[in-house]
Amino acid sequence: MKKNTTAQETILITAGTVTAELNGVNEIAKDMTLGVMNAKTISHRAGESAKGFRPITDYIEQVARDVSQAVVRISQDVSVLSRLAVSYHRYGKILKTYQCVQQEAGQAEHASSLPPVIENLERQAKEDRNRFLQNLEGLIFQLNEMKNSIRSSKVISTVSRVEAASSQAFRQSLEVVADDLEISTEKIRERVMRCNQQLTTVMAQIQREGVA
Amino acid sequence: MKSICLYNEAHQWHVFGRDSKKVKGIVDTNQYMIQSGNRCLLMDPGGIEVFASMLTAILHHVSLDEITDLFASHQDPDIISSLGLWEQALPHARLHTPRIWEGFIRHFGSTKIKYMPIPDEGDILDLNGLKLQFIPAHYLHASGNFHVYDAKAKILMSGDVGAALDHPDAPMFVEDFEAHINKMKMFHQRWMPSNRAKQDWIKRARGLEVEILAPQHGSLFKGEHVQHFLDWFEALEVGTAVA
Repeated sequence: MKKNTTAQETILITAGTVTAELNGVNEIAKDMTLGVMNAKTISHRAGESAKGFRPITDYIEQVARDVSQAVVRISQDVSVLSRLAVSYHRYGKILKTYQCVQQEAGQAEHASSLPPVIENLERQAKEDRNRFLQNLEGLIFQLNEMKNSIRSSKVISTVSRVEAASSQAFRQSLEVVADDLEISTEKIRERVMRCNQQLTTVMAQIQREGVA
Repeated sequence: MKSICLYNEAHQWHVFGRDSKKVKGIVDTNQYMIQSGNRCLLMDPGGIEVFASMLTAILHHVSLDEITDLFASHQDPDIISSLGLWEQALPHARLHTPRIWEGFIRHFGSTKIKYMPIPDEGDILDLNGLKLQFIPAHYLHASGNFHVYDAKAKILMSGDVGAALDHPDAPMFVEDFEAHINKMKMFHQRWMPSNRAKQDWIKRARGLEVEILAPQHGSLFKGEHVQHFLDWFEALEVGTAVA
């Protein structure tokens, strides 16, 4: 990323990247749902020996559903964040333009009519910045929540491996389910971490830049 | 940005242009302002790129609260893309513009300004007792297009009619009409789509007493050059890009 890119410009790029990552998460969640359906069939066929596996498949199903719902929610918030970034960026630019005019028109007879306009723009830019920061913080919080819920899935994949071991005939198939769950949760975790990292970078940049 | 007073009696006309600070590659534009007492009308206030220079130039003449009205002859970016910037300083100003362009002009980041749609047949603006006519110039070149006529000052602000794509330090007034033709011929033939619309406007313009014809690009026409221009434009075939 260019060194002179402002936080507002960075977030427009970041929003696109985050949206793409979230779409990827959604695809993984869909695959998880398919995997669960497969696991349910296997555990049904395995009968009594895979009894302990059934609540696990229910849990995985719930995780996949939660992830998909969170993706929808977070994507909407990313879209709001993009709009706020555009407004924040716009008022920042307008303010800079007026500040340039104030410098240029220093000696003009009617230059005294500019300061109230600039004060108003400064207020507007500050309000936009606060709204933008609030939304950004909310988004980072939601991503952290998602990361935490995914972390518990990792425990479940370990438990499912233990349960798979107790079903001799279907052990291999159920282990594949456990492996898939582990791979999926890891992929989701990586993507969520990347989103979180990018948004945290933007947040740090805004705090460094101060008021627009 | 240069500023010249075109008329200075009970009310004043100013032209702003030849912006030495404008970004390379963008077409040079003329902006106009009429000051009538404590009210001002800004006409075709220009694009985003000239806004800072334009506002700086204006502050040498009037304060921001005196600018009560804006006029956009049509919707092009070089005419009015600065609107989103102007309205920060002029939240109570009114924008007079062809009625068909309102929804399009709002794309220039405008949320606060009050739109005053000009009906197709034209209208009159009372600027502190000064009656200004919005003269229809549809299809010259935009499908909704107006010029501003001031019968007292005998000035017709003619938008793109009479425009020339000239170098940035071109004289403010046409000096040699024959030499000027080369600078405006292609523009009129290509930008103006309709011979019928052109003849309708010529008829309308000939009915006005015009001392200065003030286009949005290039040099202004004064005195006998106004008639020279009308005669030349009347004879010119336009809309020539269609084979």
